[in-house]
Amino acid sequence: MSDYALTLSDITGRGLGPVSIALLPGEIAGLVGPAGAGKTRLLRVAAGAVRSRTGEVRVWGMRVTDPAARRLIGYAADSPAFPRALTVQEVLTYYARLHCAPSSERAPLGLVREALEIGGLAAAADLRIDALARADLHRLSFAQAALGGRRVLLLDETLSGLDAFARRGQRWVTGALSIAALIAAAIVMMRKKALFPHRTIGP
Amino acid sequence: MQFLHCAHAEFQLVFPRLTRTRLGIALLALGTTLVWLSAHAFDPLTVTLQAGALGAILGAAAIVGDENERAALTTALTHPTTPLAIATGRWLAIVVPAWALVIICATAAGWRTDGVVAGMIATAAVGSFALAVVLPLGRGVAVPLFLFMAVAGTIPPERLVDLARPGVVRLAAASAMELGPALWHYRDIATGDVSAVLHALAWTGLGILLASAAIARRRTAAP
Repeated sequence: MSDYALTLSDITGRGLGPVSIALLPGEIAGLVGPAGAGKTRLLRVAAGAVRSRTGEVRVWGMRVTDPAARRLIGYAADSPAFPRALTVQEVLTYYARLHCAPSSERAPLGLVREALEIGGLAAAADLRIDALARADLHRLSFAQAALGGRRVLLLDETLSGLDAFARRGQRWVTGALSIAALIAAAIVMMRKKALFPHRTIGP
Repeated sequence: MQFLHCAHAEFQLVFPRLTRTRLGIALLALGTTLVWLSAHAFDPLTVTLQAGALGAILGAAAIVGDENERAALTTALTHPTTPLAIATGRWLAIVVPAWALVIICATAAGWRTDGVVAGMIATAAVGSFALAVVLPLGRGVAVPLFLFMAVAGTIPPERLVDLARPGVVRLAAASAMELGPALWHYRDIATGDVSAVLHALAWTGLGILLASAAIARRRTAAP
């Protein structure tokens, strides 16, 4: 098993890289850069949501395409999309069932409760997705990324659309998860450099 | 085991979709129309075949046709599941309500066990084909598929190909109608035609695999 929580080696793609990044356990890194620099694309590659032209992504030494690695890495997209007819709780229950599949030790409902708390969505649990405001969609995106005790979080502008109070809350949750070792590392994409990352990555 | 759990997780989303989207109403309207037609023009076998096939196409349009649903697949793929499990679960979510419609329509139009079996097998094949086509191309493609299955798909190709000109078009039309899922073919399942059953089963498997490949492409597309 690798000492690094997340490693990206020689990643290239359309308008991207070559980029190499290694994140230590407990580290929170901020990814900053101008529009079109490839920040979102890099996070999608790191999450295994798209494949890079060259290079590889490893999560604790495992390839990101490995289902075991996807239990450890969570990704919150810039433009989150969820099935519109479902409620917040149903969406999280669906993802929780995928995480609880191999063992009966963890109950989906427990993971959902935890994710609702992390996302600050307890009051919106019964709201349908098509009734959610943009800020709540970002909270849900954050909650599904953290669901299941993921150890690496990739957060793509999850603070956008949130008011100052909610931004502070989400920064606090991300920091607290990191300190409590519930997550081992996180890359947070931001429009501007913020105070809470330990390290800032940029072009 | 993991595969079955993931497919089951996909399938469980069918219940809120049936009650909160237009899918439930659309299936109800289709069933009512077919039962009415059974009293005036259609025989019970046609009713069960149409109920299954058209119900499956409506299901595919509602469950995988919406742009938001398709975009959400990318998020699902960042969780521990596989494209094949997603495709299988969505296929089940498409065919199970259509199977229920087959049984309801068969009960209302006059129960024939061979007709119900034919309707269910046809549902599996058409549902799988609709999944494979609607998932990558979107809801719009469900409309021509619905019309084809409701009208042209019920007519044997030898009666239609004469209308096609020139010869190349005729050959292409005949091949498509012979090879693709069509109700004229699946009528023979009721008479115990093994080749029709195999044709339907082949489309069931192929459709799920094609849909799975379409889902996997969302992950493997180079950035």
